[in-house]
Amino acid sequence: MSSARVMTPLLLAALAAPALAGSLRYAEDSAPAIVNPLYSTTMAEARVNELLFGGLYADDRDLRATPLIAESATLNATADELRITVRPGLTWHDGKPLTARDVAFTVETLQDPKTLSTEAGRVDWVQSVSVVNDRELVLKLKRPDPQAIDKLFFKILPAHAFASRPVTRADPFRTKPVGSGPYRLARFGDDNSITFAANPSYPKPLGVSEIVMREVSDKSYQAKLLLYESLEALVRVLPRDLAVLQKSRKVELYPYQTNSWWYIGFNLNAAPFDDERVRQALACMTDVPSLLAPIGTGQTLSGPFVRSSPYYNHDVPPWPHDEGRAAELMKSAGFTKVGEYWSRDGQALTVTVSAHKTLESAQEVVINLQSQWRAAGVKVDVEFLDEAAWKARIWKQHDYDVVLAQWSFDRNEDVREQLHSTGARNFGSYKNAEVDALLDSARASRDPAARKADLRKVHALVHEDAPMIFLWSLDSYSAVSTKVRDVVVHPFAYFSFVSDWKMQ
Amino acid sequence: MRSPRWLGSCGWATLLTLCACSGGDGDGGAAPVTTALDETWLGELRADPSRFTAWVASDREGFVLLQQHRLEEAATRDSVAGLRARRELSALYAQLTRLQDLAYDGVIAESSARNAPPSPAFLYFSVLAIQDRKERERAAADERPAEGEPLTAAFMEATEPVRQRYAAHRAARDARDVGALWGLAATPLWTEPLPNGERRLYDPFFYRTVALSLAVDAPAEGPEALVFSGCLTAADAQAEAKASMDTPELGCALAALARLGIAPPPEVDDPQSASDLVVSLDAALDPWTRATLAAGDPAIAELFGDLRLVERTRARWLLALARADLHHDRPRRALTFARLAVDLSTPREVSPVNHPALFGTMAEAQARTGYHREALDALAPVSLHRPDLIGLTELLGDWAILVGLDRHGESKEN
Repeated sequence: MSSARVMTPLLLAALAAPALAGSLRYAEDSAPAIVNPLYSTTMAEARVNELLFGGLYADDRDLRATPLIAESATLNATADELRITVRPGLTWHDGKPLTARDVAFTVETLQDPKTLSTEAGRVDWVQSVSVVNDRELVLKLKRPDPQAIDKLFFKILPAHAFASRPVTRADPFRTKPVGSGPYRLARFGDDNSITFAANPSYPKPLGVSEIVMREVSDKSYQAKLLLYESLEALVRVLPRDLAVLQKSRKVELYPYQTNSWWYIGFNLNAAPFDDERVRQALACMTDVPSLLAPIGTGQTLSGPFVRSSPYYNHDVPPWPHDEGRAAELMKSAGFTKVGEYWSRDGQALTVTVSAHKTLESAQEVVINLQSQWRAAGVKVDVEFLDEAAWKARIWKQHDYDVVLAQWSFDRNEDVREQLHSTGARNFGSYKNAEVDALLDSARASRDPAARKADLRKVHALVHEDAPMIFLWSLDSYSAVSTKVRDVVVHPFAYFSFVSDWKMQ
Repeated sequence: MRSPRWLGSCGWATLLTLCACSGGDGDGGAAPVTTALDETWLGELRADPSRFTAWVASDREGFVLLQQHRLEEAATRDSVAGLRARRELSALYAQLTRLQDLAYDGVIAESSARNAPPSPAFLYFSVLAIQDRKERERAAADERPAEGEPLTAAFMEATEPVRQRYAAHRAARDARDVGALWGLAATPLWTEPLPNGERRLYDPFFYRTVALSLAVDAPAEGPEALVFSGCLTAADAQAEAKASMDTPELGCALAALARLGIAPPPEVDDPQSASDLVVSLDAALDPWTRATLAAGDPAIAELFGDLRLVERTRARWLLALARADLHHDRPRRALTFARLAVDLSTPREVSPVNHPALFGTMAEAQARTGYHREALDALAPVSLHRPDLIGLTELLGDWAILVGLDRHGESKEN
């Protein structure tokens, strides 16, 4: 799914074509690599999933859990059995009925280790599932959980639409998804666009007849396209474009995806990044405010939370930009300065920095980082990976030195998957038994003060261990044309309330 | 950069450094230029910018601070600027008090709903906060406390440090002087050990004390009462001086809308009606601003370009409408008004356009509509620079954690 990095006049002209009446065009930096909630790892995929699929429960406008596919969910007296009734008359986009068997299929598929789902943790509290009839099923819980209903947000998948068992990432479903959400996939375009048509069977009338996802990988063009009325929405606006868009009076800006942070992540399986002194030294070689300044405004960070988070440890300052301290750390790790570069065993320290091709502004950051580290005595190569290479090299094979990337979290800011030694998103292989214990304790705790204490300690420990250099959170807004009315943007999933949006 | 004559030698460099220059690109439309602002203090300045120097001459430094929304510093001045800053600060802390009350109630309710009983210490502090609120409500209604009321009894059993602190608050409220309490607000009033840290509980009386101690009547007369305010005329300001502190500058905002030919917003909690109103407002204001700047007068450019007087006044009207919506239980629209008021050239900073109460208003609106974590984020531009807000942010954090306690946290790349 490659795309034009330089926007040609032809492409501009194509994008400038008027939208169909009732059509909403939004821009993503990168088209989703896969349309399958079992394997979604990026925000772009999550947004598409929100259009196509539904969960048993979903957020209402006040972010309270409310039944969607479920008609009801009832716990037994001992809170270890959950009886779910599926809403009657629901159908999939292909017209087939949505039944309790689909729900059971989804749970079992998520749980099946052969599925290798990145979302398996969503149902790790379920012991077993049994279908009572087409509309009813029972989930047996691993342990009593009076609030189990709050965990029924995972997307439900159609059992009949998968080609084989166990389900694999390569299943044709990825390009022919069938869901029950407000929109169905109408077509993939040659320009990597995806068109979604309103689902005529959706229980409520939709005010936007068609949604088109446009891949516009050069972020600096996205704001222009919105101003030229060639788009109706930008998912994320570059901080430097905020004031311009605000002055245009043609768009409204909504805070969105504010629990996101950038980081430089080390592969702890690869020497010398298994040595925390080297990681700390590289942190001290990094002038974070200077990396941030060219791409916009935001807040620098010292740990794995944004500054407004209840878990952020304000007693921990970011690593200082201090080349003297970096030099001491490098020497203690056995490196000596030979000519311009730090060397050990006759080998100059060489780092390859990998970044996702479409991470906004990553090129500017990587080039500046390369310059900073080179000036401090480290040879730096850079590479920009497309989606497929990123998933293969970084997630699967762990074949990298250092990544520049960004994590986005919902309001729970659960960093366990990133930092626990067993975490599904811990591709850097970070392992600290004390951090594991604190993350487990935080997840189990029902006392907010205890959870804060646990995670603030995690913040301090992870800062010191430096499996990542925590960089910044950007001022993060979405922009939507004033032609779209009754817009409410979900703070994480974006399109959760799209069924209320209307085109003028 | 030009030297603004109205400031003389007093703080001009700081001020102008903080003032972003407007690009004035606008939408390029040919909307008619309204004359509705001509008979207002903005219109007077456009006609004769030299008046500005005279208007702020009584306390130029105070007006610099007021313009920058450095309200605590401005509040110490013995001047009209100081008086206005005290009133604005009082309104801000009244809002923070409401937010704290809301959060205590929310934490207790959510703890009960989620089988996550609060610690005895937290429960005790929440009782103290509720009791303080009730006492103020009684005082406002001129009522006596009921004998033997459980909350009163709990209050009387306060531990000595809490009893002493409350006595200090009573004295501060009587003397209308927050004094040393400013410095104590950032220190926990109660700590107890936890396995990996400690539980810290902060003074539950502080925000109310600030609100009560700094409450003053607004100055009603003269251009000093108008400049940098949302009141366009002396008559508006006189009416506003008698208005409720619950809805500051609402009367002036509605008068301004009427002057511009814009209907007041309907009495429904409909965010789209806020968006529509702002579209109309900008359609009226932008041509006036463009025409003003197009005159090419350097003194006018300082006032309307560098100081962004129109944008600032617009933001105050929207803030007033947002606060009124909160007061009348329309939080969704309140959030929209406040969001549309924020100057996104500095989206996370208090600035000459971004009043600190804008962030407080967004936080209150978010908290009242289920967006507890987002409320913390909305408040951050204020709370991250004000140590005394730690008690409130810890409380909001507890609420946000409880609401999400049983959810599966999601995370994705990019």
